[in-house]
Order: sequence, then C-alpha cells, then structure tokens
Amino acid sequence: MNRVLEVRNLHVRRQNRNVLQGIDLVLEKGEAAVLSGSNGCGKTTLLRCIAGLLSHETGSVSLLGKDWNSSEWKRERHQLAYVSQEQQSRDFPVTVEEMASTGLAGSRMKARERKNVIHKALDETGCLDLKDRYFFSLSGGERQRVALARCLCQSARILLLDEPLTYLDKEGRQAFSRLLEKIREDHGITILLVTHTEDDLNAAGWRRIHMKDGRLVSC
Amino acid sequence: MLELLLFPPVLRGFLSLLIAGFCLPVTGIFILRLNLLNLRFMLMHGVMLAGAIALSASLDPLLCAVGINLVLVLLITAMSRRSSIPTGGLTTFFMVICVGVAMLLIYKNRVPVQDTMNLLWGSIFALTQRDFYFLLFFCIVILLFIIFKYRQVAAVLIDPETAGTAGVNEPLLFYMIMILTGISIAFAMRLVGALLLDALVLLPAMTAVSFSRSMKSMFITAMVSGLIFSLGGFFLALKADLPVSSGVILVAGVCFGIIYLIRTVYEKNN
Repeated sequence: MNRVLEVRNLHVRRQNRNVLQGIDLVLEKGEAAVLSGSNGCGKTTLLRCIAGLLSHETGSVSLLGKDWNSSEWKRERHQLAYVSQEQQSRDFPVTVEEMASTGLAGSRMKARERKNVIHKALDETGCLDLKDRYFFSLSGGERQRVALARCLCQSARILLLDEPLTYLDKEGRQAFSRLLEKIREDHGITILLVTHTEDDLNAAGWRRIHMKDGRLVSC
Repeated sequence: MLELLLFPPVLRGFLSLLIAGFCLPVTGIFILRLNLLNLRFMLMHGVMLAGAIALSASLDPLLCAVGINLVLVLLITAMSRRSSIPTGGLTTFFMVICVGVAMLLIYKNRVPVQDTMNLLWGSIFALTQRDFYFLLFFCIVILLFIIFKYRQVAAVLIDPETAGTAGVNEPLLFYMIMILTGISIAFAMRLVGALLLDALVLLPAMTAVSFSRSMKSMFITAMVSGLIFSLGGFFLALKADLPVSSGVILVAGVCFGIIYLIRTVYEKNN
C-alpha cells in the first residue's frame, strides 16, 4: 500500500461559511508535506477532518485504503497520530513518561513490553533523561519532542502535526525539523505538517502545499 | 467515644464515610481535570429535585437522586457532544429547571420546610442498610473502573482527542466518567449534604493536584487524603460534638490550607 492518505472532493461548511471547498490531496508512503497558508484559510480544519475529529459534508477521506468512517479504520486508528496546536496547556500533574504512554492507551501490551516501547520512543526523541520530569515544567521544544515520542509509541504510519513550530525559537524550529526528518527516514512515516512559518522549517525535499480560502492552490 | 461505634447506625455511617472518602475523590479528579465544576453544581440541584420528588411521592431519596442525576448527565453529555451549544449554557438551563420544578413540588405538595432543609445537610447516620450496600457496590465499581481502565482514563484526562486517535474508545469512556460523577454527587449529597459535599469529593482531589507530580500519584493521594479527611472529620465531630459533615470539612479545609501553603513556599524557594 503506497497510497497512505487520499482526500477527494472534501467540502466542509461551518456557520454558513465554506471552510473547505473541494479539497483533493494524496500522500504516498514516507512522503512529507508542509501545508501552509494564512490564518483562517482552513489548514487546521483539513487536518482535523483527516484525523477524524471533524465530520465533513461531502467528499471522502481514505487512510491506508480505508474510509475514515469505516469500522475497519476505527479498529486501526492508532496508525494515525495527531499532535494538536495547544498541547493541553492546562497545568495538571503528569510526568513525561505518562504523557508519552498515552500513545499506548489503546494497546493490550504487557507492562514490561510497554515500558520498553515508551523508553525507546523517548530515547529516539532525546527525552529519556526527562522521563520523570513534570510535563508542564518543560519548554515548548521539549513538549513537542515528547508529543513525537507519543506518536512513535503509537506505531503511527501517518503523522499529522498542527502548527508544531509556533512556540519554538529559530534554533528550536530547526532542531525539531531535523528530528522529524530522522523519524521519517527511520520509520517511513508519512507526515503532514501545518505551519504558517514555512521559511523556518528546514525541510528540503518536503512537498509544499499552499492553501487559500479553503482551497489548495499549489500542491 | 469508640463505644458509639457499637450502635449499628453509627457504625454504618462511619464505614460509609470511610468508603466514600476513599473512593469518591476519584470523581473529584474527573471534575477538576475535565472542568466539570458547573456540571457538579447542576447535579447538586438535580439531587434537590430528586429530594423534592422523593418527599412528595414518599419514594427512596437516594434512588431518586441517583436516577435524576443519571438522566441529567446522559442528557447533557449527549446534547453537548451533538450540538454546538456550550456545556455551561446547558448546565445553567438544567440547573434552573431543576430548582424550579423542585420548588413547585415542595409548594404544591406542602412538604415541611424542615424536611426540605435536610436535603442540604445530609446525614451519615440516616443511611439505611440498603443505602450502605448500594454505596459499597458503587464504590467497588469506581475502584474497578480506575484499576482496569487506568491507562485509557489517564489518556482521556490528559487529552481526549489524542486518546481517540490512539485507539481509545473515548466517547464510551467519557460517558462512563460522567455517569460515575453524577452518581457520586448523589451519594455525597446523601452523606454530607449539598453544602458540604465538596469536602468529600473535591477537596481531596484539589489537595492531590497541589501535592502530586504524576497522574498515578495524584489518584492515590486523592484517595488517601479523602480517607484521612473522613476519619479525622468523624472523630473531630464526635469529640467536639459537631455535625459530621462540618468535622470533615474542617479537617479537609485545614489540611488543604497547610498543603497549599507548603506548595507556595516551596515554589517561591525553587
């Protein structure tokens, strides 16, 4: 299966406004794409529709050849990981290890195996030393790395990232994009990243998709 | 003082308070994390409506409270998930409806004022044997839920959306959390009354949030705090001849105050 994500003629209407208008998008296995556009153009709505967090009026979204609303896909939903923009900013007692482990919340792995998977994912994203730290004491960049570790725990094949660069400085943005590139090479994950600071993303070879007024204008 | 425990209603009340003090703070954590403070307030009014129905129709007040709260949480959860109406607006609407209908029933059926006021105070010594077993059963359900579904519950509490994409049946779990919260409020109202139920449900959870650095330790701290507050409050009440609910809230309030102070000083120095 090379075609990992297929969006066809997607329309979304919210509060009497056409938020998405006839979106067509295909991503192949291991492909990485940056989706850019001005605020309010529909980037996050598209990402949330693909993640199954928003419903659409017409059109279709297929992930790994399965319709997003089918029972087949619902059983395999863990193959898609979504990192939201906000990263749950409300303060609450959660350690880094607990945060990463949410990627395995739906699995039936044994405790020891689970721990190994979590530690391996944290190690890959350079967060293993932080595992006992209080999550909300971390910097923006560290939080994003933990979110990636969570996605790796999940054994996701599709990674959707909503504005992960927003709270990072230039150095942080470059380090984060290097880490993403490494993960893509090592795991063959398909990545769709939403940003409005495309220039700071060190992502040579990434496909550039631009969005305007609910339509893809360059793809 | 301990000889009082030889009286079956006192012993039953004491054990009920300890069991509830240990288990109900779990739902206090749900309330705090999922920001259900408005909902809890509405559920308190739901129990008042249930009390008015029970007094008017000579029904079991506890069963009425559980039933009304169950209907309310299911209704509000379904409505808020299927529409764009804010949950705050829905809870306010149902809260007003509950109080209005309760007042109407009390007025029309000439329910004595004293009986109505008892709804606000609750009483651990008024629990029947059946109430006790019902509470015990419910608390076992809470414990089993949190033990066997811990990872999924933690994921939903951390971030419901990513829990859903990680393969957790988030809607089902959310409904279960809401149902347990609704029934907990019904039991807490019966035990310590509307005005003091936060001492049993919320203060141990708030203490745990201030005191813990991980989700697991937070649940354990909340449950142990609830047990200590209940135990301390019960004996303080017996010693100082106070209502038990006041004893619990005094102990809980003082402990929470001390822990809050310690945390503030610690954060200032680090």
